[in-house]
Amino acid sequence: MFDEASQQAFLQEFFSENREALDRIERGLLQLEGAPTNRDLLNSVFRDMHTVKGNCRMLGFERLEELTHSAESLLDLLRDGKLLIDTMISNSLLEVMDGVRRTLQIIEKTGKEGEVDFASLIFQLAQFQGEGLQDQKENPTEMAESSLHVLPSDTGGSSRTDAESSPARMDSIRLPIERLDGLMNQVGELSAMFNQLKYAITRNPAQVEHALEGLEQQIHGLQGEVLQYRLQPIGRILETYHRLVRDLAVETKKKVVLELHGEETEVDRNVLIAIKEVLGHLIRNAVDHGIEPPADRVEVGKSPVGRVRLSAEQKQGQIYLEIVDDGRGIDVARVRAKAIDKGLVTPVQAMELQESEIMKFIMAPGFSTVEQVSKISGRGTGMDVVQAAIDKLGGSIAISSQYGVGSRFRLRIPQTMAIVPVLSVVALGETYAVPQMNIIELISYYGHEVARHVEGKMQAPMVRVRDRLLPLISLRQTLTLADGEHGETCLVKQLQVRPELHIVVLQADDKMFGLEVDGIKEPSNLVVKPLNKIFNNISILAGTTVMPDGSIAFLLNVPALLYME
Amino acid sequence: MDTKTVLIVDDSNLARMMVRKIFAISFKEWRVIEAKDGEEALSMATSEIHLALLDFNMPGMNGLELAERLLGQCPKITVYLVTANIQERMSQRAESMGIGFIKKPISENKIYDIVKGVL
Repeated sequence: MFDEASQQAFLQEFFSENREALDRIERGLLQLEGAPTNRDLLNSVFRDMHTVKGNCRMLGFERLEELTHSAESLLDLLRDGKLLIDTMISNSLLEVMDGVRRTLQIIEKTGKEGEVDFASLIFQLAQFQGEGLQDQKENPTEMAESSLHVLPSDTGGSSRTDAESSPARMDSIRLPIERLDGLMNQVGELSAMFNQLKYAITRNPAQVEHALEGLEQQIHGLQGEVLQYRLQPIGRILETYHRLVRDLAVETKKKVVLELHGEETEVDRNVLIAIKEVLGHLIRNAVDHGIEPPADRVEVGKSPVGRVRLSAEQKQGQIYLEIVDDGRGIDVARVRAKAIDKGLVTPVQAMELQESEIMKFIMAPGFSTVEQVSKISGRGTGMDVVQAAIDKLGGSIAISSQYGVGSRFRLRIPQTMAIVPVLSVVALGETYAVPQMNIIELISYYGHEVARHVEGKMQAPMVRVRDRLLPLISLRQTLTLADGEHGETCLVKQLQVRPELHIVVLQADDKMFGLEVDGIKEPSNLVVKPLNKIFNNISILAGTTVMPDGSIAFLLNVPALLYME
Repeated sequence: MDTKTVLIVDDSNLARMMVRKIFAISFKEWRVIEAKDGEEALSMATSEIHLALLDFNMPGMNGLELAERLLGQCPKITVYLVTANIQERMSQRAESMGIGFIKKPISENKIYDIVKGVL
């Protein structure tokens, strides 16, 4: 009886309402593991499952209805206290979540449920219900305690993969219709401005500049508006880690609580997608390498339950993320020894470095202080991959740790990567864009001033900016990589005899350095696009952008410039 | 044509959307108002409401509790509980108060049967 448009609207509501309910159920199930008798939680999980079932029935998705119906019946017994939730039941119900989510994706793509088969899962759910009706003589509390951390070995692996692939759903967003109307208005004014400009060009040249300014303002407004919609609360991905931590804890026979703070912090969705894996990596590390087994923790006077705290906050266009665990911490002495052993640093240098700098070595490729290779996070866990991902985003990471007490990973990433304020510079006749957030100041020296400010220290060129001596990196040389021919002493001399020297003083990872360029051009706000895949292994480039004259320029990855040296 | 008012109470957006649509297509003389739980429904209850369709499973009070309170406030409302399975005990208690039942899922025919009884 419903027309096409209504049916589409129902389907959209079906997806979004069910997904919201599924998220709540999943969170509830995880919380129930720590509080298996919490009636309010049980009630709300039951109700949400009931809603999902009802929705599936209304739109005639019979297989989903059957599955959620048996889950609901099981929850009904739990709610009435006839059965107590334990890890096995919880696993099955989480599997139901995964099954429903997968099916929703299928429906979204094909409009039909397809050939999904939940028979074995439904059988499993029915068996628990049988137990609930028969085993009422058994002391329920004891039953839950004893089975809380026992898990059949064959389900452990599969549940983990499900948790990791658990979609954070960032491929679609919901907007109230008024917002779309607002956008439409702005587009309308944009066309009006365009018409004014067109008119001015042909009929009234004196008005061209005025019309252009108006157009610029409108575009600016539109940009800001659209950017606003791209911002998503980071909670959308943080929530998914509850499941990850839970599955990891079961697998490693540890007890871990994940605490989230600042879920409402808004981040550009592209940045969200990019950091999802990075955070997952760091959390896996924290649980796998950081948190000790319960017995070990008790021995050193800690609570048997480990804590991982993940917090997010936004400050001046930057997002700060912190992953803190109260595990065994990182042994700096061991990291230092290993760095020397691997030839990353000489023993003399190693003694001079500060603890925070030593810690950075764990981000180096193939670096690991854990002798055993773990199935969860592997050896060295690709911390170099984490570093690379953060660099690409124009962010940074700082590590601090107290051996025996815990570790802290602090990430800084820009809130958006879509529109970046940049400064254009020139090297070898090409234009490159430098993110403004890395720039401290611009300096140009002319004539005899040049030689006075460029020095060589241990063969490396340095620039004296007022009283500070900063490393000097030549963009031209970095791009040509032609250091083999004339060595760096020669570079110092080359630089010293230049008639003019243009330097962009930059900061990355708390280090300042000078970037020598052939010329400095104007600042602008540019729409940055991700790099084409073929440039992926060129670490000093972070993206591409179209310059005002229509040419294409690369955005420089500032931290990578520093590490090229 | 006299305008009548129906109150739909359901915690599912989808359910409310569908019932609203059925009314919009087939029972145009009806004005539809919605509430997502019992609390909200009671705050909206007035003597202008002719019919109330209540979901049973909702956060806060359930549909039967809501029906009782709603009838306490406005005795003239025709109240129906919308549920999937009706328990014997519940249906007796409801029928003694003149509350009817609609078996889920709700459809145009089921609404037609009810609407023609409300004058």
